[in-house]
Amino acid sequence: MSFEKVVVTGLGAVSPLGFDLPSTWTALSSGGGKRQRIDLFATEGCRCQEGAQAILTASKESRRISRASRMACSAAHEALLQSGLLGSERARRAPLTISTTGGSMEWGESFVRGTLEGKRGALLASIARYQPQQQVQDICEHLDLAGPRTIIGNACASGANAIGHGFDLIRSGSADCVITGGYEALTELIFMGFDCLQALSLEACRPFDETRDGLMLGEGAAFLILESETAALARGAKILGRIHGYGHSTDLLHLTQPEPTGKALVLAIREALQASGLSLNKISYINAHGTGTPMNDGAEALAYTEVFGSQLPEIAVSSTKAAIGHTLGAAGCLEAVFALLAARDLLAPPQLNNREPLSIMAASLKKCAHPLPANSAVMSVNLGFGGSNAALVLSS
Amino acid sequence: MISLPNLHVLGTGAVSPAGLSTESLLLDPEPPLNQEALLSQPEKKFSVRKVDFKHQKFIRWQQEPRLRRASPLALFLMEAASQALEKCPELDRSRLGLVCALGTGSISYSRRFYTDTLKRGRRFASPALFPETVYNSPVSHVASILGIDQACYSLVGDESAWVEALRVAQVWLALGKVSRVLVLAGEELDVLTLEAYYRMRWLRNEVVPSEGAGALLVQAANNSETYLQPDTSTLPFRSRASHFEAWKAMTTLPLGNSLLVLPGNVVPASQAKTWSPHLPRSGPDWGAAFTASSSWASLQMIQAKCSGTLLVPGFNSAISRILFKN
Repeated sequence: MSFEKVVVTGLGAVSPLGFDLPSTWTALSSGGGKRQRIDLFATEGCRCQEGAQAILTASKESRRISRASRMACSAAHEALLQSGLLGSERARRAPLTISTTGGSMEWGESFVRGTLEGKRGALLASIARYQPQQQVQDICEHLDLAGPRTIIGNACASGANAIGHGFDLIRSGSADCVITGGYEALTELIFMGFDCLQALSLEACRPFDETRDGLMLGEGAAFLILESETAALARGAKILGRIHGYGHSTDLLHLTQPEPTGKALVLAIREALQASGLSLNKISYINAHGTGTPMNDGAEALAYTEVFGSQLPEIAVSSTKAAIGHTLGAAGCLEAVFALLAARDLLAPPQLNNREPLSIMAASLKKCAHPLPANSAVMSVNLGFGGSNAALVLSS
Repeated sequence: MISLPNLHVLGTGAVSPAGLSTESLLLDPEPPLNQEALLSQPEKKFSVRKVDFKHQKFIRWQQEPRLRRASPLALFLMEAASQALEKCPELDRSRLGLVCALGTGSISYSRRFYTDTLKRGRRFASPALFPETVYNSPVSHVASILGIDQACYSLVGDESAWVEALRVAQVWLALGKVSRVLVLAGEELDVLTLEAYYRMRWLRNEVVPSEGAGALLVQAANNSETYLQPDTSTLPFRSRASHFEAWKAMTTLPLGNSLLVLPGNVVPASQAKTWSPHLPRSGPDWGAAFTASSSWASLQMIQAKCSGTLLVPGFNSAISRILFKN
């Protein structure tokens, strides 16, 4: 069976390091990172009070929509503009595959608070706007899009799933252009949730480090314009990258803890590699999930060892969550974009906050300091609550 | 290019206020009404339809370690999924995918988690509740108990998300990722949902909030004579004007015998006359339960061996439809 080849023609991002992709990538690739006291909502009573807030422009118009929508609209606009499809009928009819975990949770929180306080008015707007389909409506209204929408809520692997589903739609011939992306805004409920699980580090997110003690929450959005190679070439589009493979699997062990040997992640990575048709030695960089929690990073490292074996020390691995935080529903999309730019610039983002690397990852983490080989492929890997595992194989 | 397969139904399952089986969806009389008070004004009570949560089957599911602390939604999905798989005990789980459409997810746990912290302080936030509030937690429990370790998506949206879930199943089957897909939809009714219904002024229009789940086990139809086909002509809307336009556009499509999923108030008044001949609404009213309603209407089409179009008008994002050949 022959499948359509999938290319990337537009990229956009908003993150704690920048209000667009060039500023984010410049900061990230040169070793920048962000951590600050959270001032979006009160954190008194929480163990941790720090995270990575996104940089947002504040136009008069954008203030009417939620923080989540503002990030998503901005990133989607940047990606469509770069693809040359902004305002086109092709973009208007393209399916959207979108990821988030919280939607506009701040509106939901406001509804609950108002209800408990017995407020009679002003709550309709809150409840009408909090669901994820409303942020997707904001994107569509903002960018004049009218295609079918699929919103994936697969926890922290959602972003990779959204890209993967877009990839599947094109490969299956169901679409020749897909607008895909993920967004997540920091909100009180989610922050308190991770805090009460004692999953937040009080000092720094230290992925794959022996002293790692938790993650840092962040926020952001990233969008990609995917097209079939045939359609992109036919319109003379500039091809920024390719998606070669996608794999996903479900870890059945526990709601929040990965199976210690990373068995399900091994399945997802192998499926993605098999779909790509590429051999292991073509992979030069992995943007790892690397949350900096003891359980995730241990299982993830073992999964890489299982899949890549003696090849692993030759592959650069870093987790950009140390720099921008864990952006949950946006993570898979932001990190896939970073992996694509790493392949383009032959430059892996450095691993921040790593002093005592896990022995099996030490060589791979160090490898980020060296230029990546030309014409190689890269991967982006994500795990999530509920046992969601996803992997993407990409190249420039 | 490959074509997306039609979907042949191998098994069905339902949990609704009418009972815990697909057959119960066709039963008359209508399921009983319960009274639920508003969160903000406890003196105000409204009619709702609730699933019999004390049913022996739910008590049995609560013995499962993964479901001991799970939300009602997880138990509804578990029971519906289990019914759908009942007739295929030999099914190869390593080739089975799972996709579920959700509207509000585990809303009761989200409310409890957040209100507890508002009332008692952030330091008392419950680590046991928080993971259960995540959209995909209920589906994760179902996957774990059924041993489904392949593709697994939780889709979020209004009633039309059910049609998206069927489309995901088509794509997975077309690409050969799996050979069968368990498609689920489910909602739990919480006082917060009732509050939202009240604030949206839907309760004035005699909408009865409800809860439950539906399940379809599907495979590629190939040469099967009975199948369903999620239509690709989804019509998104947001404003009143675009809602009207979406309904208008839907009339230009061939409809045949149609069945509307939701209470009639979804059709704009100006379009009601146009639509009335197409809407031979039959069967009992199980109440409105977003994605679960969509699944129940699909199950009703299958159970009653109806051929025709099932309209799936979402309440806030899109109108979709499913074609049935039974």
